[in-house]
Amino acid sequence: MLGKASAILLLAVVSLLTGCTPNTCLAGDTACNNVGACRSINGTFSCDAPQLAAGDVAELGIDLADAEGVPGDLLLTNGVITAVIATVDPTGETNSGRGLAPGGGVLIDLGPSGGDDDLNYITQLAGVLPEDTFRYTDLRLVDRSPDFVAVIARGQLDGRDEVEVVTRYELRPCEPGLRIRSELHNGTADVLTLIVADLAHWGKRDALPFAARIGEGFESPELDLVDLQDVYVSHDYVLARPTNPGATTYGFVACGGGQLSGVNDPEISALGTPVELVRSGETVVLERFVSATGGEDLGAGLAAINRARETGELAITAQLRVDGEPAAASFRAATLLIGASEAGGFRPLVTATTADDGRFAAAIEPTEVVAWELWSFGRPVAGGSATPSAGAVDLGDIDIEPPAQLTVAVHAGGTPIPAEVIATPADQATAAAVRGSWFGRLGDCAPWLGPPVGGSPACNRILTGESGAAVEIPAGRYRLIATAGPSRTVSDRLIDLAPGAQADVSFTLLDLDVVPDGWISSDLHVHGKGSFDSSIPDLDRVLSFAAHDVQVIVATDHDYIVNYASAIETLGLEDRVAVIPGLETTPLIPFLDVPGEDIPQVIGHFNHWPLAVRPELPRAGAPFDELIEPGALFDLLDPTVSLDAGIHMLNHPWDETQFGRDLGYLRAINFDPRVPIPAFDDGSSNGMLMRAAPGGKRNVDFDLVELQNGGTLIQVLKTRPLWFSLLSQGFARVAAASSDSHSLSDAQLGYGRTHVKPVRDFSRFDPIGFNVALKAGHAVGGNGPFIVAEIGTGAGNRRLSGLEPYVLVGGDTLEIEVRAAPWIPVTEVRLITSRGVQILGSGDDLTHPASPLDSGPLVRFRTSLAVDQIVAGRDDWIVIEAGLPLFDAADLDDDGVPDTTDNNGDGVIDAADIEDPDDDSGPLRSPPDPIDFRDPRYTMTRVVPGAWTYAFTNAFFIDADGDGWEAPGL
Amino acid sequence: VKIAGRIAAALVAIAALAPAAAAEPHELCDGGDFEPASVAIRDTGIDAARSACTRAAIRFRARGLAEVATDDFFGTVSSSLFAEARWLILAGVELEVGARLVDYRFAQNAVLSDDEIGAGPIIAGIGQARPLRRFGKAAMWAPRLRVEVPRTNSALDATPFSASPSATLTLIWSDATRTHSRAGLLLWLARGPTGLDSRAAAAVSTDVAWRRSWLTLTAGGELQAGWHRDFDHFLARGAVRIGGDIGVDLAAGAPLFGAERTNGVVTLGVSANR
Repeated sequence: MLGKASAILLLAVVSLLTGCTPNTCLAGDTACNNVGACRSINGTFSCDAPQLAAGDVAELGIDLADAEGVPGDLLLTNGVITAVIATVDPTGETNSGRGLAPGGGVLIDLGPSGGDDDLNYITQLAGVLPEDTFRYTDLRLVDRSPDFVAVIARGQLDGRDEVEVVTRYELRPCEPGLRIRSELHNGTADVLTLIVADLAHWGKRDALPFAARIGEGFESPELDLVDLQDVYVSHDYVLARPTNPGATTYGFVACGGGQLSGVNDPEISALGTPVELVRSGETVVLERFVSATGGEDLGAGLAAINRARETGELAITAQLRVDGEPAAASFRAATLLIGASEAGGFRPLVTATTADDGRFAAAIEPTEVVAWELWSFGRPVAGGSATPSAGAVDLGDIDIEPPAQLTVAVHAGGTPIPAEVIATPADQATAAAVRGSWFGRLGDCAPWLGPPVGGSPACNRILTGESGAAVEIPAGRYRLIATAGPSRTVSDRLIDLAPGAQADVSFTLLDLDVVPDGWISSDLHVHGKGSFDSSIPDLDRVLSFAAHDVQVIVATDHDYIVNYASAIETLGLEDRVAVIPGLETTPLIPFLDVPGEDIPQVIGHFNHWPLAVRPELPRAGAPFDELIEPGALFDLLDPTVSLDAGIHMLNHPWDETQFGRDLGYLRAINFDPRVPIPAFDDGSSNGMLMRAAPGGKRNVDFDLVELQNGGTLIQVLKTRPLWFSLLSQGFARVAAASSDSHSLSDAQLGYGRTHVKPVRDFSRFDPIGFNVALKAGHAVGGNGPFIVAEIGTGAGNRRLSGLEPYVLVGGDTLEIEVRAAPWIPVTEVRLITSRGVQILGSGDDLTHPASPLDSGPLVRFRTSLAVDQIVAGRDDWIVIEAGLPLFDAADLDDDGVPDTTDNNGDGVIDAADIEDPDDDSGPLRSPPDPIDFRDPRYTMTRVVPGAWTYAFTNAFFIDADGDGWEAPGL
Repeated sequence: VKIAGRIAAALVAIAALAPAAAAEPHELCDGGDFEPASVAIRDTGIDAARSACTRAAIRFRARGLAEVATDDFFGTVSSSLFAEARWLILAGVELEVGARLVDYRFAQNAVLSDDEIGAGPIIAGIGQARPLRRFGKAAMWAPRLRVEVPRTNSALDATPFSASPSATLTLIWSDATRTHSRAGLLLWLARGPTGLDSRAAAAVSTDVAWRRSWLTLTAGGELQAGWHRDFDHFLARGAVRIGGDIGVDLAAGAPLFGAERTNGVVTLGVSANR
């Protein structure tokens, strides 16, 4: 009886479970012959000379500017677009992963053939947890030309081997994009909550996503990792492009008429399937078309996407007129934002700039009512709507006021010099009229002269070379301030600019003897286009080095190594600027278990230098830095950096998290500066510092601490107690100041800066000697003032701060002199030891210039202190600070680090100052910049917005009794 | 809609066939419902333990199931309503047809969450109870095969098939006390776009049932390995049943140790035995 029943059941099961060939790339069909992504667009695109090529980058070469592909990576091209997929190395020796992608198989270059690669990378993910990332372990090239070429990447979810994944990048002739199909198969026994999506890492200051949704465009809701699903919505398509003309526009659209679900943020876009429950044995498939087009605006990108969508086209035209006459205009002066007027509001669809004759032309999907806005210098200045007829609509004439033309030049010593000119509204009417932004993104500027993240003019800042600079500027009354570093005067000029006016303004600056001979100015933390979060052109980046009078730049791009050699040569700045190639390791994949934390962390950012640019290697030679602790990272890099002159710097140790990732290591591990660091890793947060990697380096074995990051005081206030705690416990570390500049406007290059006193001065610059002196602590830092501090017993027997202890011999004095340019306010000088802070001088104890525009006095304070009185007979460390008094900040969350300022202005720092109700502290915010030009901070905060004067020496380690320096303890 | 139709057809078949099932249970199986705790970990409920006694019955069960894996930021809860009918077609031979009438599942990780309402699958089973006298006591043993009918689960894009062959030995210690010992396999196949997936597990369990008048208490444990390609669990389970031929039972179980991520299962049932 049971036997018969079983046989019947078996037959039924076999008939149901077997049969047709699976339509999948995951079922053993290594070439994915049975699937073809996006068949709905077959025949949509045509061209005169169809072509296809696929192969190793070493064989084919990459015809994209700023591409990252290296030999071993796979390239697909059809003469319309070129794409590079990073190779997969299962051994991990040359891990070609990028950022959130732990291995190869990632799309790292994509652009119109012969054009720009403005992509950081596109990878795939199944969620936002660390184990949700696609990790490819196998890469295969399929050449079926003339039909198609493809790259197939296979692997698993990172950390879930039972979830298989595959992505097939397919390129067909004439098509301006890749057809991409990804599959995910849940081979676990569990129900998983997943998506399958492309993750495009934009990085905030590069390409920006543009969503065709009501009220969005470039202003999509920002990513909130905790409430991700609130902003995870469906899209007909998404475009993305950098702000500069000629950049590449990327387009994302689902194949087969569907929508992409996802989120768009200046940091990332994640676009794919809706969130769904995926049960054991189920498979999720995503097919999409990702285009890359050139042009001055989003128009070509939308045209490609709409053809793939088969929406049909509605042609839009308009005529720009300036002073009533047809005229072309720059994208800054006139960009049209075109969309659909719908019941819920304005739905932006595309941007358009003018052709040479001033005509706007664009094509959008058919819509009942077309709406438009004309943006000029970051503001919508005109708008309207129109009803299409017969598949077209002409918006008519659009008039704008002609901008003024401003030419600036800066001289010193009778010769033109690189400098920066800052334009500031000089009256309230101008301020109100010229404030703008990039379609609501990237922050406000007044005046908005150009995208803050791009080349000059950026925001309200104009970079001038030796031949000056010419810019367009909206009419108004302005104060122009010229600056060329804190060792020169500043100069200002009031100008009234009428519409269409032409003004030539020349400034003369004076050299100031702020920095004594032999010291070299440096910025140890600088980003450029090599970073995923920067898009400043190399020429402007390098010109900014000279404009801010920084002699040594450590190029520290995120996970990429550059040296700016070509730009330095082009600008002829070889004798004024030296670049040390370095790296900012920027892990993004959380893995680190920290006591008291439920969620794994990353280790934050560290700078490392010197390094060699290795263009033949992934990331130009930068190592894959994910999933390892700092000690292991130091071990990994030590063979690369020179051992005796190699430097590892702990960057912004207590910075806020970004994108859910800790940026500072000490914050990531919940280091408590009030608690002793144990002698070994005892499982505590502080004990993590003593954890050693197999190579021997401990997590605490960094050389430098970035005490000052940027021109503001925020990181200083948070890092001081950390640095002082390390010093008091005998972890002698050198402090440094740097800008962490990513553009001309986010942080001003050279503020802060570190001055180093090597054996050779800059005229005989020796990078090894520079690093040796820096590692030894012969360095001071700050955002303007310079502290000359020497210890000794007589004029010829003095030495600088440094890690080498100073043995008291009797009659030892500490000689202190504080110098600063007149435009940099200094009102307080402090001495700090393990016992606390002593004010050495304040207010009238210091000399103050009559005007910030004066050329003197430079010496603001001078004193001589008996060292034995400072240390009172015991070993200790001494640090000198100068600048403005530190503004109050409280430690409301009781972790030993200030976190909150008086944000509600009631004179008390308490829980009422906490702005995020879900948090227990913060924010810590600088006092607002003054708007009265008579305020002592006014000029400095025009040059460095948010600046709060601060300078410091490195520590003097005083050995009071000559028996070796002993840490004073906490 | 198709799945609902198939389930409805199954229910109609049950209603139509039930009156024709006239065979009586074995005499050793008289004396009330001594079933083990009805605690199924697997989604379809196919792994629920049974007594060796076969009998005609109609049962409805509402099940709540929870998985919370803090370390992995994973959690899922589901609630399901099952109906099943059993009837004896020959002496000791029991046919069983059941269906998950509705299933609601909510799952989330640290960031993403989603829920889903579904129905199915249909479970069919056959078993035969036989007396056994080798133990010096009255005993019954029963081979049994339960299968999930493919294409009857709306919640799955894949086409699954699962089967649970088992053998159960019920020792009748007294009118009030019985033990049920079970050895079984759990087999699962699914054909999705990627081909066939498979999973298998072996389980042994023992339950003790004690009955007094209208009250039945059961407690037991189950060892299972293989489903997670590892030792799966030691499942501790228990139930209380109130009533005679018609009764209400409340059962609960919790997997202890092992790779199983389910934290707990609670089932509330109504049953009518013939």
